[in-house]
Amino acid sequence: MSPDALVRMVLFSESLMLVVGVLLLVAHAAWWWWYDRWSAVRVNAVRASLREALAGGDRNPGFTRDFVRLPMRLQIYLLGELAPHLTGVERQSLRRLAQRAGLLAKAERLCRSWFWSRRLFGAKICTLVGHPAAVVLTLLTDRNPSVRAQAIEWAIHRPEPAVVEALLGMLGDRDGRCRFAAQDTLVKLGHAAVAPLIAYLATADHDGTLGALEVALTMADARLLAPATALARAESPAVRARAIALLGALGSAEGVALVERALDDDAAVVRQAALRALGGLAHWPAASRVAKLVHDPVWDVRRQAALCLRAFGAPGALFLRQLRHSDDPVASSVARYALDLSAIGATA
Amino acid sequence: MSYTLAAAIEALMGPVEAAVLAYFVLINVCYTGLLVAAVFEMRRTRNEAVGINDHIVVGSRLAPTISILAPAYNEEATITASVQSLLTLDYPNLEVVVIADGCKDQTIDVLKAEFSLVEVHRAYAPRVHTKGVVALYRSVRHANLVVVDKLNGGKADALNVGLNLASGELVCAIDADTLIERGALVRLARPMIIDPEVVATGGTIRPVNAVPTKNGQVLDVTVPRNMLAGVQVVEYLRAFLLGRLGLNRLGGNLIISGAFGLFRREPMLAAGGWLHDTVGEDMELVVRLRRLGYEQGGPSKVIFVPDPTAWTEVPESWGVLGRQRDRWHRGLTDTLWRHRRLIGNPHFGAMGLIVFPYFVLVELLAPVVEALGLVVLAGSLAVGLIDQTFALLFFALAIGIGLILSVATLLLDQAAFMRFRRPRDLAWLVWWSVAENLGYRQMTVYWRLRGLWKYMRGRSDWGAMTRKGFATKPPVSSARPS
Repeated sequence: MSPDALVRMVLFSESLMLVVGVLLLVAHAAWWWWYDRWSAVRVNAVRASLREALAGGDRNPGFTRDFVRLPMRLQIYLLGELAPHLTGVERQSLRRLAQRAGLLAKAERLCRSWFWSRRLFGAKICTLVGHPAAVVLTLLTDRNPSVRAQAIEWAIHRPEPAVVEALLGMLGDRDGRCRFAAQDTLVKLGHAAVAPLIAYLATADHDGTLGALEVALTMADARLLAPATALARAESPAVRARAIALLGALGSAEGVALVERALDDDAAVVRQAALRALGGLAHWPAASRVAKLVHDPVWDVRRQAALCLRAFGAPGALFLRQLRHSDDPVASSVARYALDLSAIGATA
Repeated sequence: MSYTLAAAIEALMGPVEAAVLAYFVLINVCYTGLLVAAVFEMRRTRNEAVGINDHIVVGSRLAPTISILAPAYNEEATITASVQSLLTLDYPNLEVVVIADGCKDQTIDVLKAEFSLVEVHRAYAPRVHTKGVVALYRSVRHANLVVVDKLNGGKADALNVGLNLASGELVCAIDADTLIERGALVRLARPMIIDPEVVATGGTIRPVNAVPTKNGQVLDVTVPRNMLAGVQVVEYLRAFLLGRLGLNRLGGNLIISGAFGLFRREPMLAAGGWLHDTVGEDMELVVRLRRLGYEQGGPSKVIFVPDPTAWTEVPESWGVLGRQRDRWHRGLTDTLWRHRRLIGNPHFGAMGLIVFPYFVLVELLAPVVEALGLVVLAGSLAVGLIDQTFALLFFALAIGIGLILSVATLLLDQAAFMRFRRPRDLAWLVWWSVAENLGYRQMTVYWRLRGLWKYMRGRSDWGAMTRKGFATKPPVSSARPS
């Protein structure tokens, strides 16, 4: 084939591709134009009947009729729009309405699908309406991380020990979104998760312990004092730091003593955690020990010590005023910074 | 023309022509590969977005803290709107650090008045060396707002001051005049939450010219009717959705836009922050972070995320655009030269074997070969090596491939995000894809060559940039909220 003929052939193929591309663009735009208008009318109608149904104790036959006519994506969109704002009786009404519309049965079917995207949709529907279907439990070990993460979010509706244990096992999941979702769900489960969390902390590996301590810190339940006390003596500085932070959040006499002792820890990250904890507790009797840490070799510890003194109120301010005139320029600087923040009431 | 000269030109043209043709094939194979990779990558990121609900992150106390670093230089007209929009972003643990880089206008006074700033003592650990800090301010009304006034030292220096002062686990570098969509931070942080190996993520930048805005938020998406701005809408889409998204799958990115990028703070501090003595500090930083990740162990992945969007004003004058492109090419050249050890180096995995050679062969050398191609075409025509019809057909073929890539990118964007909802906007986009080839593309070749020339002569100035500003732009009368 001559070069001229080859170029002509390529040009012809290019033109064909271009025409197809532009036609696809136009077709896509036209479809959306039509779909926007088609869906807007129906979604508004369902939204109105859903509102009426919820207000009237879920007795509105019009809702079911309109709802089942919508495509699944729009059904999920509508539920997602409304569900996070509903609690108690209204939430139960929403679940009954979804059941009457056949959505819950459909969601359970989807959860058993071979395709991960369908399983994801199934789990999503169950999460949105708060449907405690047993089939979603199996998705906690799904091979797809997106599905696992969705199932973890759903677990808030099944606060049983077995489920909580499964969630705790996921604090060491290889996928970050699952770890994050597991931590978040455990925090939201609150009371139900405390006892299994204590048991988990006794046996978990390093990463699992760190994740669990983060959850524990956010919960700050008094029953966590014993594991926090034990872990405050752990080998890993990261674990010690989080345990000290937890003790600071719990605030017992025994815990405060341990936090004070942590001011002399070899690891800067632990000293910093102890200072933050004492500041949070406003434990002013430790002021003189804290003031010494304004001269710590690590800058972050010095700054935290000054902020801790600031959190002590008047006793801390006395030390800060003294430190302001220190020969140590860094100590003087962080003290002035903390005093300035006190003056404007800002959080550092 | 004498017979011997014509013969000499003919003898020279043969191999050059063959080389240019080979390059033409190579570059288009690369682009096609990127397009295919981008389609798969878009599917993956869309699925990922479904998998982790944004509202979990937004509603969680466990979300990592993000410090937004917003350097500002003489931004008195837009700074209030910019900071207000930053403070209202959807993210639970957020700190905003505004760095006034030796402003000569009233930027600091405006900030003081609008956000009730009070000066506090300057106490911070200067882990990265910077120019001096003049004053540090905290807001009485917004506990998460920090404002720094510093001596002028350029954008990189300002960002380094912000890096020293930031308290977040993650830092987000932006331009002070960039508009960030409300939910963008959550989406940008998503890969960091999923994978601890990710050191930086970047989002899509779109031109805000002609787009109506209010209180730092985009009201509607329209396509500019101004040629330069319109062509850049297509160009940006191609660069982000085709280039960067495709590279995600082929070995990772080397560029995170300086206007909107998220980084892990500790590796940044360990790497020494942004470099001062380069005009391509954003690219240089990303390459350095990835390189250190490979050399010393630690996070080294750089991910482009297509759905979080930031809006920025693009130049509408040839002069300003020329200076910008010339600077970008100098930055690219400088970064590739500084890290030349990585080219083809298997120690750096796909980055050394695929991404770096791609940047050298396609991004760096494209203007040289394109200019050479035009010269060869003209020379071949002059000595009668090729006939006019063939030359025209070949030129049309080259333009056609570019057009196909542009239309494919538009399709990808529309299928994934459906940003442009009015048919006439789509028509304008297709038109700008065509118009780009009629002068604009040739000018960018010239500007990039100029940048290369300046780099070889040791020029490292930024060139003046002028902006109109977009404090609040009303929607056009026919605009409907999207």
